[in-house]
Amino acid sequence: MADTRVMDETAEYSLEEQEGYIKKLDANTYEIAKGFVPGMRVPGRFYVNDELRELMGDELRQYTSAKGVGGFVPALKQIANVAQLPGIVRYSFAMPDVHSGYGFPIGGVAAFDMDDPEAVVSPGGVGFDINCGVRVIRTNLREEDVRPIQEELAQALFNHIPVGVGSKGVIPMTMADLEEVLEMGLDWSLREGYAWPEDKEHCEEYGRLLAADPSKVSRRAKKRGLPQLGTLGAGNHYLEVQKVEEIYDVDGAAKMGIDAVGQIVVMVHSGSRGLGHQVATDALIEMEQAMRDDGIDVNDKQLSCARIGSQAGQDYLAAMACASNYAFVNRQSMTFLVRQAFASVFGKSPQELDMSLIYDVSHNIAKVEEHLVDGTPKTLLVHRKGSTRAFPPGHPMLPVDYTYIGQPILIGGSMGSASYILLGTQKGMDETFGSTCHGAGRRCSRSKARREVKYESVLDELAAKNVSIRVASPKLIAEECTSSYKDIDAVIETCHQKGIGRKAVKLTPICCIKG
Amino acid sequence: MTSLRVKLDALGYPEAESLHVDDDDGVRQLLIWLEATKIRRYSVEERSQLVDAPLDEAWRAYLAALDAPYPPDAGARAQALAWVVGVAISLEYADAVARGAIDAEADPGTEVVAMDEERPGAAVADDASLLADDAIVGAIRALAAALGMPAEGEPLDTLRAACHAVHRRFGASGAAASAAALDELTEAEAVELATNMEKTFPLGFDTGDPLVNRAAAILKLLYVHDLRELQTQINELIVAIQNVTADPKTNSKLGKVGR
Repeated sequence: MADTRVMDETAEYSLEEQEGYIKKLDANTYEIAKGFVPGMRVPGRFYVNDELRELMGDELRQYTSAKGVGGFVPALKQIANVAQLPGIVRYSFAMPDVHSGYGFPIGGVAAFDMDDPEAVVSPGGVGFDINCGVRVIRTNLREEDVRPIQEELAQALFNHIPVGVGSKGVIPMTMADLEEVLEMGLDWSLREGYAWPEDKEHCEEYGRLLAADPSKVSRRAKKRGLPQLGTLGAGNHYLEVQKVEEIYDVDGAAKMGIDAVGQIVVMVHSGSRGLGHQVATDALIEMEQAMRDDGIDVNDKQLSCARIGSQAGQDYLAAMACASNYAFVNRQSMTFLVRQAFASVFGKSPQELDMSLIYDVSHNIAKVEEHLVDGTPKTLLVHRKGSTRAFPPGHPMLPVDYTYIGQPILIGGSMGSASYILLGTQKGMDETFGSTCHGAGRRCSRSKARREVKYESVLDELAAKNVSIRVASPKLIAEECTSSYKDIDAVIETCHQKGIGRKAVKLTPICCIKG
Repeated sequence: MTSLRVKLDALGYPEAESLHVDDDDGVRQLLIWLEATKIRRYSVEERSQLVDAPLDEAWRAYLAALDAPYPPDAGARAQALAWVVGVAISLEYADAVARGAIDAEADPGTEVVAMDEERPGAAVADDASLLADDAIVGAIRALAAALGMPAEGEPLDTLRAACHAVHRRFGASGAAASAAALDELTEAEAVELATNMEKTFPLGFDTGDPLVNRAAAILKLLYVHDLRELQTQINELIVAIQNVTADPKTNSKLGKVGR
């Protein structure tokens, strides 16, 4: 998508004047006062450590000295621009892994009041990879079972699961099947036998958004999605065999079936592939017209949106639900293939290997949820873009197994770095609509990473960490190297300190499969 | 009679609807059909005695050949017949498992059969004459009433249901045993146990009264326990449906690794 931003008036202000709007509330909480950009309805709020705060300041400095011409809109401006959208409640939030995205910052959370007729839904607040998410499958294997055959295991996974740009899935699908996938989500996988009942139980939204209406998904989107079901894709998506490196919460980990350091788990990070991207693109075009019709004015053209109750808004929500269902089935299909691969390598059934799903989270989605706003229960449309839902213990939307520990929050690291499982907290529920970070977050652009990092050195670095890697296109992995991401440990620490998620388990990679 | 017809229907017996236990010819036809198509205890030559010999004689010989626990007199014919049909069904089931048409481990049906053997009711079921004893039937009804279950209906069915209820309430969960253990705790130990429970299974909100909090925490624990039970039942149901609908396929020829 071409970067077509609109000049805003504050670009004329000096850097000092702009920084004056940003207040530090405590060690890692900042507030952006109204007025930082025109028309802010609520303040902005973000949670970052000192290093990231500096990085955000640098972005703003560059942007200001270039007078807003060229380059991207800095994350600080994007947080504030979102605060200008009609119907927004309390704050425009950004999580500790925040960075600049399309319209909304990645790591952004914004909730809109469903009872406000002016309130909007915005595809930019969901992202192009609708229901991109992470799931973790546990096993009863130990590091010593896997180490001697880690290369063989990596190859078996690479052979079982198609990866990369233009990859095609191994599950036979017709267009009629796809329509059912879009409508039924994980229930389709269950019916066809690609899922265990426990998989559905341990999936955000039980793997199915009921608002889905396949007739709202364009033919083009369906055509893109049909051959890609059950493929990992490229970009930051990956499949990793990981070992438990550290357990911070013994009880919580035990409830998730993790009982020892060295236990092996499998993490799948993927989304809705071309189908989701096309749904988002189609909606952005539709909404440009809807904005003109309804007279909605925004600071940044990338913040295309439509009133939730309007035809364009309802159509997008129905199509987005379809893309979300597709993504659930996509991750489930790969789970099926992972189980097959493990069974063939270890000569035991997936049941014998205890390959149960711990949880499946979505980090690019908009959902209707109930929240307390200033003591009053409200129905909100919560946009999370590069942000994970993080519900506290006792929340009725959680599976019964996690009632006492809170929602498992699965945070995938970048290639070669650690990953984490956090647990949801009441503080997060009260403060950020039950949301927390989603990963490390980029620190430099893909093109900059490509220019500065040689892919050979990335491979060497992974080999030095004893990680077996299989990639469809080695040249692209320079974009995904650890150094082009923020330090995941620091991001997690910020969430933990802030109390919007508490650390339960740390995971490190053994095998990594990438597009 | 109805349950016998249902079973015969399931076995595919064409005359299931018209069968009557007092009809000698009908019973003979059924025995011939069961032996020829399902049970196959006799050699082909031996089967002719089911056709030629007087029914009582053939019936007696056949039950003896199957080691049936019933005296083949006319009064118990219905029970004996039900037992023979049961033999045919278990053979048919074993065949289906051997063919791979049924996954014995995943099929909840096998569990029920296995449990029957262990249950005290099974012995009574084997000796039908016991159920004719009014004292025993009366005792079964009294047991059902004590468990708060309907006491009318077939005594054998009532007894089975009662066994199940007893098993659920006082069996594996050891509820009775743990209740006894709780009685023996000192007050200090009981308070410690309750405090630990509140830590491991926190209530999540505060009513302002520690005793009410504790009671609420226990209620919540019971509720979560019931919810887990319900979810398990749902999962079992899904698995049963999957046995009919699921047929996961992959075709590696369709797969393509991207660049």
